[in-house]
Amino acid sequence: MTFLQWDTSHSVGISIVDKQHNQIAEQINQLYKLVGTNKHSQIVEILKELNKLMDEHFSTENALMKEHKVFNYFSHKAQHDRLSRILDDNLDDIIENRKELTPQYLILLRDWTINHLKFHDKPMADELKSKGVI
Amino acid sequence: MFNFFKIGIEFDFHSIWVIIGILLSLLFSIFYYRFTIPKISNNLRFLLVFIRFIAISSIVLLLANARIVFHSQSEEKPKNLIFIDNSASIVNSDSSLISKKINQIISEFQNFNNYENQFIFFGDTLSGINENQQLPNFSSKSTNFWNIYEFLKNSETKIENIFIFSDGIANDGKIPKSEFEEIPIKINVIASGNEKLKSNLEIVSVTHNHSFFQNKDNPINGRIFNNSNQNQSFSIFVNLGKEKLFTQNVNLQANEISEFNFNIHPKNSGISNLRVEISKIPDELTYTDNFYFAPIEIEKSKRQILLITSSPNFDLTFIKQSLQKDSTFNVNSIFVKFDQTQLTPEQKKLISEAKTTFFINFPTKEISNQIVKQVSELTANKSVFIQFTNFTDLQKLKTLVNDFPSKQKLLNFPNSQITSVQNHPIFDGINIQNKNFLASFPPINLNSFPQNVNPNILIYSQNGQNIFPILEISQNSVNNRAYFYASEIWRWKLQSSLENGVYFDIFFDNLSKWLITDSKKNRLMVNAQKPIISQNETAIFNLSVMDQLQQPSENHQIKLLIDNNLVTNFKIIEKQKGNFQIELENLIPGKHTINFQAISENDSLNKSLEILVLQENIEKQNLTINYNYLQLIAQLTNGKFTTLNQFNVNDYLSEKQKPKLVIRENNIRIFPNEFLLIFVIFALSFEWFLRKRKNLL
Repeated sequence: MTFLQWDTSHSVGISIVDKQHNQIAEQINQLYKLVGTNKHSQIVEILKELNKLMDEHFSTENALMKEHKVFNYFSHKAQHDRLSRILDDNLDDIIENRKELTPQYLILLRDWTINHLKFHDKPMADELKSKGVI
Repeated sequence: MFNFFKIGIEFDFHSIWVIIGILLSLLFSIFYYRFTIPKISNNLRFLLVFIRFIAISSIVLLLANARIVFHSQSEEKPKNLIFIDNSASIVNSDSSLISKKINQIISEFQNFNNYENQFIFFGDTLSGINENQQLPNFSSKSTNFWNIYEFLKNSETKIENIFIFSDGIANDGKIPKSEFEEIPIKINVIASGNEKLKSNLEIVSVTHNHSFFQNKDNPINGRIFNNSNQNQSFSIFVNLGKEKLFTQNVNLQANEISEFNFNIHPKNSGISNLRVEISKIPDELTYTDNFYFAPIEIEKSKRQILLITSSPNFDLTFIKQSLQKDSTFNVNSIFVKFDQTQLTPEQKKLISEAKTTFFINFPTKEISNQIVKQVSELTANKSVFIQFTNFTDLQKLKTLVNDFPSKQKLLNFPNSQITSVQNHPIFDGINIQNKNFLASFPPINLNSFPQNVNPNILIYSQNGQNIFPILEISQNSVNNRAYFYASEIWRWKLQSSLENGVYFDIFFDNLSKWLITDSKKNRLMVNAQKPIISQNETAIFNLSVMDQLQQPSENHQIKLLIDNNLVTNFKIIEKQKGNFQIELENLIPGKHTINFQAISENDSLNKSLEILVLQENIEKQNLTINYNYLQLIAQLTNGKFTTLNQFNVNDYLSEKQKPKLVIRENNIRIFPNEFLLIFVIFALSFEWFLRKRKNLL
């Protein structure tokens, strides 16, 4: 069973954002398969890729919100910044301190992604669509 | 003796009207036959006049209701009606004294020859003195005052005095009160019976859980009735076995019910007898209702669960987190190091104290044999959970758990094909038909459970004809075992969480409860608040029912059989989850076997107990004189009220009392109405016949 199932119900209706969400979900599911294994280097690679995807995604959303003067821009951006810090810290821990990737970290990623989509990305997308962004 | 002294004729109207009527009828008859065509002889005329006169006069007499009245006079003794309470309550104590006193008073009444004394015994019925019973025997099982009222109300005899000797305990039929005002004669009431007020304290009910927790506050609620007219001070003592747990001094108002609530804090676990006692008060009527007994199981406050593993792993972390959510568990874990050859004292203590032990991926090949042996010895008769993975050393595991199933093949997760779940209390709270539950199990796909699979295999994976157990259980009288053939159990937690379910937590909570269950433990417990009750008392039972995980059940339906007959008219009150109070009324006297059944979809429990219903004389329930009622009767009829000891016949009867002259009237109809009517018809017919014959028509 897939850990983080991503389907059309998660679509926000803005193609670039949906594409990035899909890529992030794929990376989290890759991590799920590797958690509890000794494949440290593989885990690090995926985590790096995930962090990179997250940064790109946050930049895309931030730019769209800034350009179209989305109402909740600052609080939404603050959420992005907070997760970016967590991702960076966790990556450092795993690379430098050789800490294990934990299921709890995966739960955090999954829950954050789903909640962020529901409470921030969808309202943002609705506002953007009302302003003609597709 | 009667003397006729006057005889007369009386009518409904004044006699002058009757005379006028007769005279008019005579005149009419003469006038009618004065002239006739053809002429008739004087004799015939006289005859016809006579007949007509007689006929009309008879009609006048008929209308006037003529009758002869005989007046007589006689001397009669004044009549006394003496009602004596013949019920048992009157002689409940000091029986010989009271009985003797009443018999003496009967004799004193009888000495007054100038009175006609009628003694009437009353209890459930009224009966006079007859050949069989010259004196009261105080054997009636109830007292009905309504009979007295009806007797007096319907009595036509002139009565001089009425006396009632009674204790005023009316316990049968309607109780006349204001009705006595209708009785026009003074009723003298003599309070007879136990004049000294008796008191009784009674434990009406005691409510508590069937199981208590050690070193915790366990609530007990109860009600005490002060069945006396005085305020009472007494003490409540609560013992659990030999341990004195609670003492409290109580002041209770007269005739009041008081509730008591307290917590007891048992120090020791195990089964013990709870005894609630209230101290005896002066003049206590009966002491048997001052006690309450019930067997109680005292459980350790938190059940110890231990997780043993050889190295930190996610399965241990997640299982431990789940178990810690249950506040009744105290969860500890031990990491046995690879280089360890002896258990530390602290580890030994934890293993010994644990009610159940979870072996998480333990023992691995790195664990020393000595450690395995030591753990095996300490967990020999305990319930255990064994997680068997690719890393578990099978030989060492067999040393640890000697009955570990040997022919197990581990699945290659997550490639198993078909898996299913078999119904069991371990899955309570989880809808196993729910696809989400099955899907959330790491290797599981939905399928139905075939009939031929060992019932102890609760979760399995099937590949072709091969059945691969995932969860297998065993249960015997000593311990319960659960074998989980899967690694990375934590993944299930993540899946479970994903589906917005808490299946993982529920499953391990249930599994732990099942492991802890004691197959010898009685899951249906019933006790009677009073194993012996009297006929009119309500039988009260405390019943607690536990499900197969030995948790208070709310899914069982309670049924009752009395002497093998199903009963439906009982009252059931749910005090707490799985804890009921059952009330049964109107049990007939005798010994009854009451079978309690607790039935749920997959479970049936039953327990029988005996209760003795005494055919107790209800008269014995109230032992003190009901002064208020007796005084009321005297007051409503302007009679006197006194007590048996103070009663003196001479205050009411006098030797100088002379017989009374009684004038009686005896009415005799001169002619019965029917006779007069027939006579009139015949007379007029005869007149008609004569007239026809003499051509007068």
